[in-house]
Amino acid sequence: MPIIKLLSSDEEPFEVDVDIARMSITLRTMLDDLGIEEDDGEPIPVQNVNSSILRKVIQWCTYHKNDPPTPDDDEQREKRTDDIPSWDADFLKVDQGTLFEIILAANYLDIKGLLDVTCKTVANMIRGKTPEEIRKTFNIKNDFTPQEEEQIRRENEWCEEK
Amino acid sequence: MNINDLNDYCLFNIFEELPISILIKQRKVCKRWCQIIEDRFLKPKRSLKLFDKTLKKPQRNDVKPRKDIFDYCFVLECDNAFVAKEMQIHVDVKKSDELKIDKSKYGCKVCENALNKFALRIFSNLERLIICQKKVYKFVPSLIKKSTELKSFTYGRLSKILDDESFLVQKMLIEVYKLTKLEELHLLDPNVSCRLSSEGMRRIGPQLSKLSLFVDEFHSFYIETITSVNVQLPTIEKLHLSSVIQFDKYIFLWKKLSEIFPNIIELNLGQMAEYSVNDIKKHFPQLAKINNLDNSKFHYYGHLYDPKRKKTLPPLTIWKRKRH
Repeated sequence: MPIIKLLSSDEEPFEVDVDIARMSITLRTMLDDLGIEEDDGEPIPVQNVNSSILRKVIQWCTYHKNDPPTPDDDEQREKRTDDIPSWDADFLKVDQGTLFEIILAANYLDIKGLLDVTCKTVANMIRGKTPEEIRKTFNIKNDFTPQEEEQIRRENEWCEEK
Repeated sequence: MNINDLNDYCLFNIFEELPISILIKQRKVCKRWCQIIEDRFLKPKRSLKLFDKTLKKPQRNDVKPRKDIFDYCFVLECDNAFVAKEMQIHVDVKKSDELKIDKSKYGCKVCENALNKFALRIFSNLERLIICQKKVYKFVPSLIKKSTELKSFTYGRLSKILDDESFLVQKMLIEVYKLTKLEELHLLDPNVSCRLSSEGMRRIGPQLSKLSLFVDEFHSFYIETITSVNVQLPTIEKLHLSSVIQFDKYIFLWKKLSEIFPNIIELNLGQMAEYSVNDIKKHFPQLAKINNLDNSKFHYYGHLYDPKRKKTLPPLTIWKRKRH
């Protein structure tokens, strides 16, 4: 199995199967553009991802390397967030900071499956919470003025539970 | 790292996993969330369809036949994910004034008044509205009133029209006349078409590029409406007429129509009893195409074109079709 080297933003090298690296559309494009098929000694820099996150990303890709390709977004697909595989759920039992960094890495590396599952995990953290609880959960500052808040409250009146 | 350190695309991806009912409420979290939710999920509504849909008959295996609850469901559909995916408004026929949003998706009920509020908030920038209902609902005129950006408005067939609904149709048309950006008007029900007033046509007509009207021989006063429109509508290039009128008996009508619509290049004729291509030709010399909407055969100017055989048949001067 051909191997390539990836270099994290904090300059830690990682040896990865080419097939696993190619699960990232960003890396696949890079490899195709540069005509790289296996390790030629020069590591490929993954500038926006640090070593701890890159390790997690590689771990996820390695586990999912034989998965069928993720289908393109289907407008009609039912929105479900309760279908996260148990391995992924355990894998994503990390602190919030790490979870958001994995999301950013999945976005940068363009790994749809990883982005989907991480976004679903965050969506599950939002479900069933009031805006105030969400602010507390994610440490978000309420930057609305009382007037703006009242305006949204009025707009939402019709859909609030009675 | 905080959730708000994610870029807009990542936040959007997270929000996309949530139903709109949650998103509407979560606009309250902070300004950024509010902005993303409104921009990506609530604002870009350009098209809306309202139609009655008869639910399928309950199957033997159904635990609770839904027919007990709804005979008709009233669906709001939009070309954007928001409504198409999320929103179904049902009319409970046993309590005909009550509109319900599908509980499984929304978890709440709305009254008609709330729908009006909702329409104001969400649909104020609608550009296309299609309504096909079994009855006329009270909120329709106000929905049109609020949809000031409408470019295209279609009203489909009604099964019947009740006395109090005819008032609503009038009211709806009054709001249609006020739509300054309207370019297409399709009134496909004779009950609606026949209520189009001369004054209204004079007001809205000059800005239209497409107009569909349904003519019915039982609504002869509609013909009076057409003939009483003392205005030229040169911007209209396509005209749709559906009728069981024997137009041959109303030759004067073609003349009148050609005066009102001097630049018609395409004429769609549906459910026409009989008409003479020659008569039409005489009055609309610039006409490029006549579509017979009842058959799959197309009338080109003076020729009959069979799209299935991809062949233009020999020129016809008169084409007749038997009345239903």
